[in-house]
Amino acid sequence: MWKYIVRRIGESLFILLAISVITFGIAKATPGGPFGFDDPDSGARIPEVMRARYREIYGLDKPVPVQYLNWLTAAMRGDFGVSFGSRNQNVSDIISRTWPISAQLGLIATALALMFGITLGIIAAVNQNTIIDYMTMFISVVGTTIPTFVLAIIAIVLFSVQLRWFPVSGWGSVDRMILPVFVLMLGPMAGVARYTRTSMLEVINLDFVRTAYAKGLTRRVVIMKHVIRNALIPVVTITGPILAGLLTGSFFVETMFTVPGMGGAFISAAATRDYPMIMANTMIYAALIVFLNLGVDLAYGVIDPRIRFD
Amino acid sequence: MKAAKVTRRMFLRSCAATGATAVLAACGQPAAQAPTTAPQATTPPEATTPPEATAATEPTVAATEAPAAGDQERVLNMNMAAFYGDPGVGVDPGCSGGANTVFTNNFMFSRLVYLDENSQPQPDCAESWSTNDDATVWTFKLRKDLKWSDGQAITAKDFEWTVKRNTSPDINCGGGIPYMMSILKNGAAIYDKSEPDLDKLGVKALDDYTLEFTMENSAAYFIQMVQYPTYAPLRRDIVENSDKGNWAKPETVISNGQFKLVEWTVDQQMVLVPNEYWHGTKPGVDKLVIKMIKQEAPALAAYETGELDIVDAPAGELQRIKDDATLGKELLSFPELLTQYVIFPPGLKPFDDIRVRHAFAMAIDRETLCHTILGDTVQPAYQFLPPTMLGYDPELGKELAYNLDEAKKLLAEAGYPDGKDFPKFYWNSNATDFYNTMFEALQSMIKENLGIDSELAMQDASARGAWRNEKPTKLHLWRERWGMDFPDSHNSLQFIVDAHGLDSPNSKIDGKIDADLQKLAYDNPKFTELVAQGGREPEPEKRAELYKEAQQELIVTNPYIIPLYYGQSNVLVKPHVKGLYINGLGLNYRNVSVEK
Repeated sequence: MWKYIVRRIGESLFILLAISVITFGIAKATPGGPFGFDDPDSGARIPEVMRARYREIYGLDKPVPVQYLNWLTAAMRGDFGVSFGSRNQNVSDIISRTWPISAQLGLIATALALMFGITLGIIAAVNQNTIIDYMTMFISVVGTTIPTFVLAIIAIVLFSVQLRWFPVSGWGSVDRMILPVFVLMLGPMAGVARYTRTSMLEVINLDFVRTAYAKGLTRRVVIMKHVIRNALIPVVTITGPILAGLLTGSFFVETMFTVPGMGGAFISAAATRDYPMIMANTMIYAALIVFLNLGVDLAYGVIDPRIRFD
Repeated sequence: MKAAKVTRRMFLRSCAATGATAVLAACGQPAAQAPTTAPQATTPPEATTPPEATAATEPTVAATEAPAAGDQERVLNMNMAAFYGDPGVGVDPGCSGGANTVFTNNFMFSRLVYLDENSQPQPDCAESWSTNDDATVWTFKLRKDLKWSDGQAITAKDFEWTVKRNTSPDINCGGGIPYMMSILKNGAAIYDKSEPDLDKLGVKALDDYTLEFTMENSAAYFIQMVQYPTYAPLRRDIVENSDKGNWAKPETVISNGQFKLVEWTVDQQMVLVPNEYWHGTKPGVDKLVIKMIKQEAPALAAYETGELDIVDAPAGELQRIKDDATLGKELLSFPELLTQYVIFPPGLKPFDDIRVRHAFAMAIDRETLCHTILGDTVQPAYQFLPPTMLGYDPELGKELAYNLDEAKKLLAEAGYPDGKDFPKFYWNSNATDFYNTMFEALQSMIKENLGIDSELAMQDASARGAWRNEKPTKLHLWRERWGMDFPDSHNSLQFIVDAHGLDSPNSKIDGKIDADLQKLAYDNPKFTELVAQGGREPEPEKRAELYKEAQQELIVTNPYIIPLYYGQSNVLVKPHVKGLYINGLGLNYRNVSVEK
């Protein structure tokens, strides 16, 4: 097993390197540049001396491969450079400020999504083709299909403007967290519920379940001990990407509710060609996906002892 | 501007026309603090108490954060919609010219002068000023009671140091924003390092209370420029000891404005309280909260729930707001000093023919565009300079107003009867809902009126400039807008010279002149000369004539642009907010107060 883990980590590092090359290439190949120089509305009046000075300070006057190597050597040392969007701040400072907030929001949302999603899925499966099943699946379809930004507006109009239960914006107290967590959670929860239901229904009809009933076990024990544990493997599979997605923040949820997290920073970095921020954000996201997937693969062994790592 | 790419646009978003002296109907106590009054000869009351005593008996922070018993705290909640900056760059006036920097700077940093309801300069840190005959030397006499927010005295030396720092190419926040400083003698040379001696810059403290600026060329408009935040004094010891200019945060900031920063949760909110050492009248507000709600919908929702007292009214919601019994009364609309226009490629066939340019201008019905299609959110423009600016003439450009017969005739004379054989061209703009609507309308007007086919090239803001550079020979009409940095016509007209001349950044790729791009430039020596003369001329009447003539060149004689509309600000203000006034820079908070 340790051999397996070491090999996977080695592979992961190679994948991350490849991702960094591709991201850097794409970012540079995208038309336009940072500092608004190419934006006709703001850049038209910026004098050439100022442009030249900025290119010099931020190393943009060098060939792209050199820029990449400079970035890579600095990044290896943990230095992700200065954000072009807020030039007095290191990218690492911005991330260490915004990421914990996104992660906090994401962890709570993931935990709730798993909790409610799995519960709904199980309830739907055990009550297959009853009104309860249809209701839960309706909720789940709604959660999957309504985009977060629509959901966010509905939540704000309903709970903040009409009912006045929660403040519209901000972060830092429980009442300000409820709406963003709710909006962020709904989509993944719906996904988890559908996966759980489908997988439960598959397992519930397998031979070993019939055997378990034949042994005289109660329905409760069969479901809890045998069915759920076997049915959870697909759910665990999607947990990795869900967690990675939510931990790095959601642009819509964060900007709609004024949550000072990483998701909002990522999108504005892309729009303003803030290369150091784009690189750092992408690498964090990629690393999370890669290592969470590794974690998920290892978790299979815990859930299903038949799975071996050789 | 640069860092945030917001600058130009956002800066003016909250701007109004100079003459639109519309003091809010609800304006509270303008008389008491009338900006026209000469600076008090006597020391303001708060300064008569020794600083130590003031601090001991009345610690501002404590007093404002815990409202005094029985007396409700007067809080003003505002929103800063598009906040791209961050600590330091977001507030340091020398590092970012973004609209939001200017917005926060207005509270935190006092300049030599401020602009009153008529956009006229009034004494702030300076008590008087004078200039020589050709407007090359400007001398300011400072008040003697100026203090930093920690109680130390401010002298002319502080101003001198700050102006030098903000012009230096080695400013400690990565690049700086030199474009407001190059007006000073050697300002441009110092930034491009051809003049290494910072002391050669045209600024000097003659004594503790006399500050002298020397211009590179005559500049009658310098007095309007000197209210730009890059001319506000900064505290040398604080700024020099900071990393990357990151000093403007609550723990370290020392400033000289009406308010001081006491709390900043990045990307969330800033809290400011009155600065007890400020030289002016005490503000009628105990606490300013500047929230950073980026999206329009939640910002409006926050206004409706009372979390905000002032908010931008989103264009898409304007009709609902006007129809709403409460919101309709709280809506405040005023003109901005912002002009939206499209640019011709004058060096490319068939736009090299002036008749074609005239035909295009006459084929666009700007009244319908602004009033009907864009729902009265903007006002039609027929010239470049907004109303109230020197050189604006209500009749100028009207000969190119919508005139279908004449447009068709001119196009036929140019060799394209009914648009026959006219090459296909592109409309180049950012892709936003607003611009999409506008350009679809322009596209169909040109098609229906002139029979010419065109395509929309709507892109993201950073990409479209690059697209133009890659395909300079491809025919396109380029959307641009200009929001004024300071309310003087020179700012607008000089922009055309600087940005669109043969030698401008728009004619260059990576600093090198590109022959194809030069075909898109405005090559009109007469215009350039008229603008230069206007900048040197001290007499307002003569300046107005020169600028009028320059506009005639730009719009009619040898047109480079088709003006489309003037911007308009739509703001919602709660009735308990008093004392706001509007000038060329937009909504002014200098006399703001909150009634409880």
